[in-house]
Amino acid sequence: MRVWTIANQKGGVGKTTTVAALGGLFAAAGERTLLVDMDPHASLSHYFRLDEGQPGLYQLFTDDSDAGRIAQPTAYPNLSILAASPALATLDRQYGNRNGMGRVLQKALAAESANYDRILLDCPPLLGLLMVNALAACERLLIPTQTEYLALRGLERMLQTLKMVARSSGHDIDYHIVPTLYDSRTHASRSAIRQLREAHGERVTRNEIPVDTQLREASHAGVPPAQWHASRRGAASYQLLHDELCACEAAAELVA
Amino acid sequence: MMTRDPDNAALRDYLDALLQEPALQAAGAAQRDPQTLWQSCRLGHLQLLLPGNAVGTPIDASDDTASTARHLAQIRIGTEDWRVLELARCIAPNLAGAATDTLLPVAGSRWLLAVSGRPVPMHLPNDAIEWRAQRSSRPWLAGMSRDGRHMALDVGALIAHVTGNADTTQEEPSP
Repeated sequence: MRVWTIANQKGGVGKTTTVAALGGLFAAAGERTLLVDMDPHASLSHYFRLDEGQPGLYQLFTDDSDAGRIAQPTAYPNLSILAASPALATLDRQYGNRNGMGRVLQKALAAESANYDRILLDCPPLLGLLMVNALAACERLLIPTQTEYLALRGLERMLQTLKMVARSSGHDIDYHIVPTLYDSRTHASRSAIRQLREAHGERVTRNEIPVDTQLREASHAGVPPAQWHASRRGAASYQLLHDELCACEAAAELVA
Repeated sequence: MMTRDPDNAALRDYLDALLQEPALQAAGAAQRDPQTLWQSCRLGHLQLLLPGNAVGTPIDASDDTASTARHLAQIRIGTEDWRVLELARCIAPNLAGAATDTLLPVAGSRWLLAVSGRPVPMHLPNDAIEWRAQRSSRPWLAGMSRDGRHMALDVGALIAHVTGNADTTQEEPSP
C-alpha cells in the first residue's frame, strides 16, 4: 500500500482536481484506491456525489471506526472515498492539544494495508491537526502549485511546514512540486514556472497541468478528469503526470 | 546571542506534541519493559507483532519439509503431528504465496504459524499499543502500535477465526 498526500497551504491551486484525476487513473489501472477527503469543505466528497449522511473521516477520529468499513464506493470500479464533513473543522478544538493525535490517520490506514493498494489524501489548505495527520501518514507528498507569483510564496510556507513535520515525526517525506493552472500564453505563468524550476530543480515535475475549462466541467459532471473525454489537454497532462510519478516511485523503491 | 523565533517555537511545540509517540525498544535496550515481549515478523510491507508468551521457539523450516508446508497442511515433527497456519493467508491474502521459511509453535496447541524470515524479539512499553476496544471485524487484530507501524495480533483469536471459517474436518489436532 502506498500513501500519497496532496497538500498546499494555499487554496485554489488544484489539490482536489489532482486527487480526483490521479485517483481515477490509479483505479482504472486496477489499483484498489481509497481517496480520503480531509477538507471540511468536502469538495472531493461532493465531486463524487457521496451520500452526506454517512459516517466518514470525522468518525475515524472520534469513534475509532475502521477506515475500510466507513469508506464509500464510487461509481467507478476500485475507487472508494472516505468522506469529509463540516464537523472536521472542530477536530482541532477537540483534540488539538492532545499528545499523539497527529498519528490517528497513520494508524488507521496501516490497519488497511491489506485492503488498498493506493491511498490519496486530499488536505485542507491549513496547517492544523488534519494536515499534520496527512503528512505523518504518507510516504510521498504532491504539492500542486499554481504558476503565479503569490502561489510561489505559499509553496515556501508549505516546504517550511514539511521540514518541521519531518523533524517532529522523525521521518522524511519525498515530495514533488506539481505546476498547475499553467497558461503558456501569459508572461506571468511562463515566468513563474521558470522560477519554480530554477529554485527547486528536479523536485518540480516535468509535466505541468494546463488551464483547461473542461476540468471544471468534469467536476460538474462528477467524472474523474482522465475519464472526461472532452478534457483533452487536462486529461492527457494528468496521465503524463501519473506516469512520471509512478516512475519516480518505482525508482525510489529500487534504491531503497 | 541566538534567540528563539517565538512563532516557529510555538509551531514546533505544537507539532512535537501532536506527533509524539512512545519509542519502540529492541530487546536488550536499557529501559525495556520485561512484561511485554513480542516476536516481530515481517509480512510484505506489514510488521506483525505476536505475543512472546503465545508462541514458542522459532523452527527453521528452510529445508524440504518446510517448502511443502501449506496452509492448513498437517506435518510431522518428531513424533507429533502439527497443523500449519500460513500467517499471510489469514492476515493479508493478497500477500499469500510467498515462501515461508520459519514455523512458530503456538503455545498450548499443535498449530504452527508459517512466516517468512526469523522473527525479531522486541520489547515495547506497556502503553506502546493502542488496543482495539471492539473487534467485530478482524478479531485477530488486537491493536496497533502507536507509531502505526506494527499490528499486534491475538494468536488465540486468529486460530479461532481460522478454524471457524475453515472446513469442519480441519479441526485443531489433538495435543
